[in-house]
Amino acid sequence: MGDETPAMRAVGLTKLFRTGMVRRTKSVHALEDFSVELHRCEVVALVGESGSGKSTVARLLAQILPPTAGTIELNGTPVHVRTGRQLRAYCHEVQMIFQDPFASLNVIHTVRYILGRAVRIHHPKLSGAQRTAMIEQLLEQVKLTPASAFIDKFPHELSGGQRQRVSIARGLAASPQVLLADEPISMLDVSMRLGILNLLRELRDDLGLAVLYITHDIASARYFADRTIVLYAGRIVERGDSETVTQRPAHPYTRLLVASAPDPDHLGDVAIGARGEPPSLIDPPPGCRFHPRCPLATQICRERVPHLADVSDGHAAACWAYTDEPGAPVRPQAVGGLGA
Amino acid sequence: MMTEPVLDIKGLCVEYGYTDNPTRVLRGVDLCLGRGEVLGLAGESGCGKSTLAYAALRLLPPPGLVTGGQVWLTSRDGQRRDVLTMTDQQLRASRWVDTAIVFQGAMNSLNPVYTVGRQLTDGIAAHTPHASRHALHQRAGELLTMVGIAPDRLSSYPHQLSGGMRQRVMIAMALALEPQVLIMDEPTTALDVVMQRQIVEQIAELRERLGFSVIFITHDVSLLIEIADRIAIMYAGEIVESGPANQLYRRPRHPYTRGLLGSFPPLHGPKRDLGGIAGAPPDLTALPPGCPFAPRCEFVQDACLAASPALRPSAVVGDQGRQVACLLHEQGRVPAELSL
Repeated sequence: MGDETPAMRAVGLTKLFRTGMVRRTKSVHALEDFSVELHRCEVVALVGESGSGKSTVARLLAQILPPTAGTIELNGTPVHVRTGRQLRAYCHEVQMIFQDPFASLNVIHTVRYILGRAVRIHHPKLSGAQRTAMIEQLLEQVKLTPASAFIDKFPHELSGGQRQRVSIARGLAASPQVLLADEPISMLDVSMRLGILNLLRELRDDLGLAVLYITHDIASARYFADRTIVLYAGRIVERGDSETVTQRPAHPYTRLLVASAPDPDHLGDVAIGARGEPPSLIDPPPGCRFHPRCPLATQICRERVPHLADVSDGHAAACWAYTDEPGAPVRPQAVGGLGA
Repeated sequence: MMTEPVLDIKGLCVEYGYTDNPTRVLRGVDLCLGRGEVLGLAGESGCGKSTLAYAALRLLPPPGLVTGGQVWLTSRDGQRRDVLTMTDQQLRASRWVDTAIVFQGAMNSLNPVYTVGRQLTDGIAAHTPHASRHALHQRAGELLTMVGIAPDRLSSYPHQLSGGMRQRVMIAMALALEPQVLIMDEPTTALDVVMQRQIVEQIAELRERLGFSVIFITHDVSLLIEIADRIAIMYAGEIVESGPANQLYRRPRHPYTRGLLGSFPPLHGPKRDLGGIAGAPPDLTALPPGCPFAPRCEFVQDACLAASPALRPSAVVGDQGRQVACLLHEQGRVPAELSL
C-alpha cells in the first residue's frame, strides 16, 4: 500500500453519546481515538462484540452521525458534511450496506424502482433507456442473472441472499469508492453467507473498491479481509493483517476471542482464563479497558491507557506487555498461551 | 451404543394453516433421544427445527397443527406415554418436570416488570404447592448459584442483568424441577462468542452433574460438533442425515451436510476457497416432487426429481449408526466426496 493516498482515512475518531435521566450529564463513551485507513482494492475487517462500537464507526464514516472529535478524510481531503448537496456528493463516494436486507428494502416497491431511484439520484443525466440498461448492468454485477427475471420482483419474492444482493447493487449505483458493510451476512441463512462474501471480494477486485467489513465473527474476517482491526469497549486493541491477527493474536482479548470461537478440529483446547463481560461504557474502567478481565494485568494497566505498540511489522496491539515500560506485564508466550 | 430412549418421536407431521392447502412444515420426522445424550439439531432457518421442538412439547402456536405421529416420553418410573394424547391435566403435570425448554431469544422471554427471583419461583411453586416462601426463595438462590450468578441478584429486574446473565437465568429456570429432557432453541445465537463459550461449558458441566438429556437446536454446525454426541441435520422439514457428531463432521454423507459444513470458514488450518451452497432453500408452500434438495445438489440425477428418498442406513462400508436420506445411498453409488 505504502505511499498511495488512502481512499478514506479516519484519525482519532471519538464519539460520546449524552445520556442521563434528567440533565443528561453522563455520556456513553462509544468510541475513543479510532483511526483507520481504507485503501482501494482492500478489505478491512472490524471485529468486536456487540456494544464494542463497530456500528458507531460505520455511522461516523458514513456521516450519519457527527463525530465528537477526530477527522475523516476522503482521498486526502478532510470532509465534514451535515446535509444537503455536500452530503449527496459524499454519498456518491461512500455507500453503506446494512445488516438486515428484510428491513432495508421498501416492501412496496419493485427492484426496478429501488435501484432506479438510486441511479436517478446519482446519475441524473441518464435517459430512461440508459437507466434501465444501468439497472440491468447492476443486477448482473451482483450475479442476479438473468436481470429480466429479477427486475420486476418485489423484495418478498426474493430470498434473503438475493435481497442482500439487491441492496449491494443499490450501493453500487452511486459508483462509490468506499463500501461500508455493517454485518452484511449475519441475518442470512448460513448456506448463502459465503456467496455474499465472495461477491464482495469480486467487486473489490473488479471495481477497485475499498471495503470496511464489520462483523462479530472473527473466522469470517480471516476468510474475507486483508487486514483486521479488533475493537473492545470502544477502543482498538489490535490491528494487523488478518492472517497474523487470527493465527498469532497478541492482545489478551484477541487471544480470548480466538480461543472461544468454536473449532471442531481442536476439540481438546478449551478456553480458560479471562472471563466476565465487557465494562459499562458510561463509566469505563481507568487505564486499559480490558484490565478487569485480563489475566496479565498489573498496576500500570489499571492506571494508564495503553497505546498501540508494534508487535511485528504492520501488527500492533494496545497492550502494555508489548512496550518497554517499567512495570509492564509479562509478554504472553506462543499462540494459545492464554487459551490452551 | 444407544442408551434407552427418553424421548422417541415417530413420524411427526406438522402443517401450518387451516385452509385446504396447508403448508407441510414437518413431513414424518423420526428422532430418538437417548438418556443422558446431547442431540444436536442443525439446519438453515425455516427448515423446521424449532417447529419440531415445539410440536414435540405441544407448544405449537396456531395456525400450527400436529397432523400425525407420536411422541413417546419415558418418565422416571419407566412408564411410556404419548405426549400428543395426554390430557391437559397430565400435560400440565409433566411440563417442567419431565421436559423443559429454553426459548429462542430467551433474553426477551423474561417478564420485565417482575424480579428474576419471582419468575424463578413461579414455576417451582406451581408444581410444589405446599412449599414455603422461604424454601422457594432458597431453591431459587441455589439455582442461580448453579449457573454462576450470585444469589443476591434474585431481587434484580431483567434489565439490570446482561444478556448472558439473562440467558443463564432462563437455563436455571428450565432446570428448576430437574427435568429429564431439556430442549434449547438457539440458546446462544444472540450472544458473543466468549459468552457463548461460557454457556456451552456450563451446560456440559450441569449435564454431567444432573444427568439430563439435551436437544440443542442451532444453525451453527461447528458449535454443535463440540457439544453434541449425535447430530441430526434437517432440510425443508425432513431429517436428511443423522450420526455421531465427530463422524458427521469429518465424513459427511449427504450432499447438503457437506455443503453446510463448507459454509463455515475455518479459523485455523489452511485457508481455502469456500462457496456455501448455491440457490436458496425451497418454498415449503409449493414443494416440488422428489428430493427437496435436488435443485441445489451438485450430484443431482433424473431419479432425484421423481421420488423423495427416505432416511436409511448409510451405504458406505464401515458406517455404524449413521442414516442418510439420499438416492445415492439407496442405489449404493456413493461418489468419492461423500464416502471418505
